Amino acid sequence: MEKQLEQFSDVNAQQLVRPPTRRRFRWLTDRLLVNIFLWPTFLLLLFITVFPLVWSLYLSFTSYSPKRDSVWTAAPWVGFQNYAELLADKDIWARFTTSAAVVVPTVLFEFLLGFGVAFLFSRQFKGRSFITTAILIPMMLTTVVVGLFWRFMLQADIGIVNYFIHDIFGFPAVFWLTDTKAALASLVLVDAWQWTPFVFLISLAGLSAVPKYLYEAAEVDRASGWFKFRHITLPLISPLLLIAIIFRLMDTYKLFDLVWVLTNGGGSTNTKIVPSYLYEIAFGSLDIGKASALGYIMLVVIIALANILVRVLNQLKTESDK
Amino acid sequence: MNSILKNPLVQRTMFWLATTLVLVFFMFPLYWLVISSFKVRGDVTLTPPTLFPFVQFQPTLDNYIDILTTTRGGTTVASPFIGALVNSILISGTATLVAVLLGTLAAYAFSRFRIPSEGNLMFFILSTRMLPPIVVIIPIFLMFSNLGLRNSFVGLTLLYVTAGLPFVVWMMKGFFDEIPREYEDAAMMDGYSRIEAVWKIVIPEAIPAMLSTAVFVLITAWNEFIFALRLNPDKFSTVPPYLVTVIGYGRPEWARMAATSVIFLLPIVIFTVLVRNHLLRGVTFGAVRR
Amino acid sequence: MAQVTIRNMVKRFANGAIAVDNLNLSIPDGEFLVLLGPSGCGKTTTLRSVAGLERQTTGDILIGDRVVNDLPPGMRDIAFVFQFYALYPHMSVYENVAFPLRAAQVKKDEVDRRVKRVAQQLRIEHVLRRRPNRLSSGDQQRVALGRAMVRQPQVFLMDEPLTNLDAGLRADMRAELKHLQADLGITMIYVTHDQTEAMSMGQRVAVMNLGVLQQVGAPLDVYERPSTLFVAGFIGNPPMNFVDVRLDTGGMLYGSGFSLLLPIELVEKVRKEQTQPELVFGVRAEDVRLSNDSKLDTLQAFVAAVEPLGDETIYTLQIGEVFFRASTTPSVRFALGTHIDLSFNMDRIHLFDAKTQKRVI
Repeated sequence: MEKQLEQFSDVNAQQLVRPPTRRRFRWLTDRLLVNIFLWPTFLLLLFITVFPLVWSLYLSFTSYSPKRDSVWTAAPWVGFQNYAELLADKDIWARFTTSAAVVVPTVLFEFLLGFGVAFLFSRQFKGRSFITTAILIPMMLTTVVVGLFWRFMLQADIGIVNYFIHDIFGFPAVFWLTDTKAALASLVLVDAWQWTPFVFLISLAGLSAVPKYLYEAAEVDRASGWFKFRHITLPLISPLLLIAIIFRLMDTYKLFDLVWVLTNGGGSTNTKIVPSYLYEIAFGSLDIGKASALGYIMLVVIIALANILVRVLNQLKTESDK
Repeated sequence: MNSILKNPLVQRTMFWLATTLVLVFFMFPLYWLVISSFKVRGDVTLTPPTLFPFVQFQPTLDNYIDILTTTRGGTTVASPFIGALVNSILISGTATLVAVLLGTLAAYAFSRFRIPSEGNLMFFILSTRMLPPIVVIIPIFLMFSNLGLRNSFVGLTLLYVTAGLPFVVWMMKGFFDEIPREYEDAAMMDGYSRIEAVWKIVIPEAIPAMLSTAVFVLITAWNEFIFALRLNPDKFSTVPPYLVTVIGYGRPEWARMAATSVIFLLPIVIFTVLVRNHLLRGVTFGAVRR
Repeated sequence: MAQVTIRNMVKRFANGAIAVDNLNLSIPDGEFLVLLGPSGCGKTTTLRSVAGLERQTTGDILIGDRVVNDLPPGMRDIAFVFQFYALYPHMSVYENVAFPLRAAQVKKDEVDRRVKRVAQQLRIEHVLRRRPNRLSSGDQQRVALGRAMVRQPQVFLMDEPLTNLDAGLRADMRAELKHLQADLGITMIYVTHDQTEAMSMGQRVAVMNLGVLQQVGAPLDVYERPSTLFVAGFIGNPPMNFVDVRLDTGGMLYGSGFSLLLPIELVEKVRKEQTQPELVFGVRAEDVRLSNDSKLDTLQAFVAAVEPLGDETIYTLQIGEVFFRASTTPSVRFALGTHIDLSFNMDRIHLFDAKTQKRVI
């Protein structure tokens, strides 16, 4: 009863807080808000990504070259000629082969090393978090800088790598950056140095997400180490590993900065991978039409690749859900 | 053989041996870079190389002084590197600010409202990030030439904003999805309008997430090379293209390269350590969380 | 203070699913109404529509005499306590409680006075300076209540507010909430899936299932005269025993391996209400009597399981293919695997139409 009275004595205060209290921003409805929030992002993406892509598609059907045409609108329409020429060109196929020769070993190497190290670090030990953080640093670094200091280390005469190989262990010195095959190997090595940490990070997350009780259950069932790995660890983390592989495949396929710095854009044409070759057509020979067409071929390949991998990923996910 | 492998002491030794090898592989290049930056020019290319400062060689700051200053007409002035560094800071800083701001708003909309074909739109945003830069650089180069955006502060900044946006939208949507809607519901129940609820409740909650997202956008913009190289070769050049020229074309200037690199990489290392717990989310677009 | 009226409310989601189907409900001023039902029954959707956090597809919602369909939540003069409390983690408890008043631009000293008084009422004065995530779940619950009370709204809406508390605390809070509501004399709509909460707190209980309101009534009415098969099965622990039966012309109920003669007055009542003979027979565990002396109206049953719970013992009994559960005082003891005699408290049996699932008697 006392409380009731207290409430009544509070009439003035109640008046103060009776809604409708505020009418501020009532005009700002949710619908309007959605538009205000979304449009800047979409306009920028349309302006800086979609529009250039469409333009580039148009250009790929012309023979536009700034050397000859004063403005791009003056470029003659050539239909599928650029594509036909490119697909008939043995050189292009060789460039894609070289690309594959870099991408496949790189991703394989990064995967094996990254997963291996993650497996090694999947148990607790002193200094684990410090060492883990240290190992992760390379993937955040500027690729150009990474290329530069590896170029320094891989110099045939004064490089520290050859010093160890030749002077300490007595193997013949390797001409890392100038020999055709060695140059590709250098790319693999340096890209792996920078991006193995990425695979390591994802693998480590996957490994530590496997519930401990599963291993304990297997232990009770007297499963061997290999059996546990094969039948518990691997199925559970394979979707995650595939995500890592997808990321790495796409990125290595686009690799440009590193090649530019490490081997001067891939040296002579016959050691170039696709992006560097594309750059040369565009900014070397200024053959914009053809470069645009090659760009689209690159896109088609990457989209097809991504599609296949995502399909495999979904397959894996539904399997692990069963 | 088997029994030897099962000996705990042997196991431990093997474990630490492997760990040391891993550490050497990933850390030695950085160590080598750092000590090289403190060597006098001639010492950098010595064979056999000197590995231990103070023991084998006397560290010097010459390279750093050298790259930060130039003597022009007898007086010491800031070097071109300083100019490039300022550009890098301004351009990536501005781009990060704008991208985080716009991307956060879009992410909020995606997280809280029913948006028609939301899944497709989110995928579209993601897919723009998957494009190889080499493919889009040609039309962007032409477009920016036509619009007078080449060799400008705005042009490159705009590019980095656009490059960062998909990342911000995906990351922040993930974070917003984790912030209970009830916070805003409660605030709106108390008489606030939605925009006030966002400002007073959601944004303060999201600030840590926004900061770690910003770090990733910043580092990406900081590291970007090909667009900077083609679009801003002159006045507004950032550090990465500048770095390629610093080693020179005749006799490579390794010591100066090392010093420049150390200065440029130092902020990245610091930021990486700061966001170390968010790295997984950061490098996978928020697709993988712990 | 105000009454709340829901008229012909339908909520259809974007995917076409119907969450609430033609709901009519009126909550008088100052009543404590509990909306009870399993998850997905539409009770939370109803509550959120009253709050204005969602918009019903058709129908009206009235607070007092005012149709509030298009009023934003902040202008409906209601308070909402969320299941996870929704305490703002970046604000202190004091700031959390003061937040609604700040929204109303109440003067600073008035805010202070009110926050302090609410804190006193809820015994949270000692935690005012702390951050919510540092509090025990009980105190968090009180802070959430404080935030709802401080503005003295017309209606309190609560969405499973006790779910996150442990059992002992939950019992305490049930009593406390009931007192508080009575003290404030405020209209309260309380959503829960827990029948104990519903029975112990509500002045009236509204049971919902699959978007449809099944029954509204005082807790004991709902318990004793459930109007649908769903309500009968949902309320009560152990749940009511059900047997599919058929009523023959002689007034006998036949199930599989089970038959029961109905008293003549019940048979007549059923005949009056019911045209088809397919029924569901229901009886609560406490209305099943066990004994050792067989009479005319007893049934032979086999003791299939015994669960001694201390304050009562629950027997599972088999007749033909039908199982019954019976609760007895612990002093009644029968051995597992023996045969005993079973009868029902005929005043308290229930019959439902097997097709419409509605109550017959």
